[in-house]
Amino acid sequence: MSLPLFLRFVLYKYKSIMEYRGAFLVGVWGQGLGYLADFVVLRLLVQKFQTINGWEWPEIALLVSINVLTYAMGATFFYHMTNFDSLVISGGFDRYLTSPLPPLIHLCANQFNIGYIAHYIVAGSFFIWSLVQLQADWTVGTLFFLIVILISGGLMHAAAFIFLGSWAFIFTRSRFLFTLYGALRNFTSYPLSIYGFFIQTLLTFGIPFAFINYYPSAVILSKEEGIFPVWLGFLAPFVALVCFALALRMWGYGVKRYQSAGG
Amino acid sequence: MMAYFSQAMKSFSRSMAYRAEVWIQIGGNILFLFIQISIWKALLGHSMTNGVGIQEMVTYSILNTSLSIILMTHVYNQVDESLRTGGILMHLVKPLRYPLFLFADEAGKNMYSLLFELIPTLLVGALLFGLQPISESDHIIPFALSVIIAMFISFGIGYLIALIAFWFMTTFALRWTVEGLIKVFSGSLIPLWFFPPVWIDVAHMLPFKFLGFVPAAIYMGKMSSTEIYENLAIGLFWIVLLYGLGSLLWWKALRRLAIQGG
Repeated sequence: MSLPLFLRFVLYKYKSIMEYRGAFLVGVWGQGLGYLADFVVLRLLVQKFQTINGWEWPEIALLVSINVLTYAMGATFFYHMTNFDSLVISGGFDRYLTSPLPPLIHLCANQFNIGYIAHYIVAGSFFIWSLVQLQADWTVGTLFFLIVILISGGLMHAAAFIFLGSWAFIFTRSRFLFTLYGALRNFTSYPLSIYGFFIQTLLTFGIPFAFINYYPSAVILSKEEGIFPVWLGFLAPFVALVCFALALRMWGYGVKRYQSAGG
Repeated sequence: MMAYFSQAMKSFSRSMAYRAEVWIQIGGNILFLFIQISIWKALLGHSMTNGVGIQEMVTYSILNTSLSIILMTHVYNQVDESLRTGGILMHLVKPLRYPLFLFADEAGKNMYSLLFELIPTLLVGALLFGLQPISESDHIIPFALSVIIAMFISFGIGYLIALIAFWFMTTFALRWTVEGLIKVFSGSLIPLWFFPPVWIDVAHMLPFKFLGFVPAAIYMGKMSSTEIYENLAIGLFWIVLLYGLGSLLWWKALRRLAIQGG
């Protein structure tokens, strides 16, 4: 699939949503306020207690906004994976197999979700605000690192979505995995150092969600804490690539199995 | 009257069909509790703030998480669905009052949630994290009353949101906004004692505090008797207000449907 073609899919999505522009904008507002509440709660906490484990408000804002931004990036392309099992059951997936495009890419183009604008606006604002507040000695290198972090975080969330979709493909829809994904995202909304050994290990070496926002933030903010060294943050892009590759592997396996079963 | 009761029973049975998944919900609740408690441990350590230490906050979190399981705010999902499919017309034709029907339906679900989700979550949470007993036996009745008030207020809010759908065909924006308000002002994540001064005043003017903070505070003995009576009275006032608004809007909604030839 060529980029212009992909963008064309996106444009059609955009046009169809803009037909109900009013409703869409109101929806974005409402959702934005809802997400703002998450930040408000954290702000109130930090206002009362000054820090959460040594993390001050701008630092927490950075941590959370990276989590939300990268989630939005992954979901923009891959949220449809959460309903993938229905598509398979209804037989709707078959036409993706008969098109000349790789099924996953076709799915992404077709199901591209532009409904995450509220996430981008709210989290993006806090992201930029917190960076300005933190006034570290920003160099070109730091900025480059930040962009890499966002992309790798997005890849990790994408990997999670693809994993969820593949699982539903091969087995059945797993509400357990979905709940677990949500819980893990909640875990990584706070500095990993507040948790004990088990959780820190799980989120670093088991399901490495800590590489989405925690370790990279800790590196940028020069934190010295936690059980594992903070320089792990530099490994985030590699971890993300590995996870993404593994997820694609699982997807490929699922597709092959489906096809060979006469699907 | 029997019709409503049987609807509640029907909705209870319907929920029972999903009981195999309830362990996922309980697990999710426990994970959520665990995160909450980890945060409070990091914030409070072994010291106390405003007379509240980590054990208190554990109790507070368990109470709030448990209470949220039987709140009825999500009644708007039902109405959204009903409006979209047109199924609502079937309800209006029957000699039932739709609002009461909705309440009965939610009550059935709540009964299920109470038995299969709330009690296990409460027990597991208490076992894993430690739940303090109620501060005074005198507070048991006020506590029970505050829980009932919470249920009614949450239904009232959800119902009002649902009625908006009659005009705008969607509750999406309002839902998100109100859920955001509840997240902050119900005190479920942060107790009102930790709010900055102006925020406390605002919180006391809104009905959301009854959805978590008030029952928990009564349970934990953080309110004087006067405050308890005041709050219960204000809670009742909110129920009357919400019910009144709901009736008015419902009447208007019916007229609108009739005018549109529904």
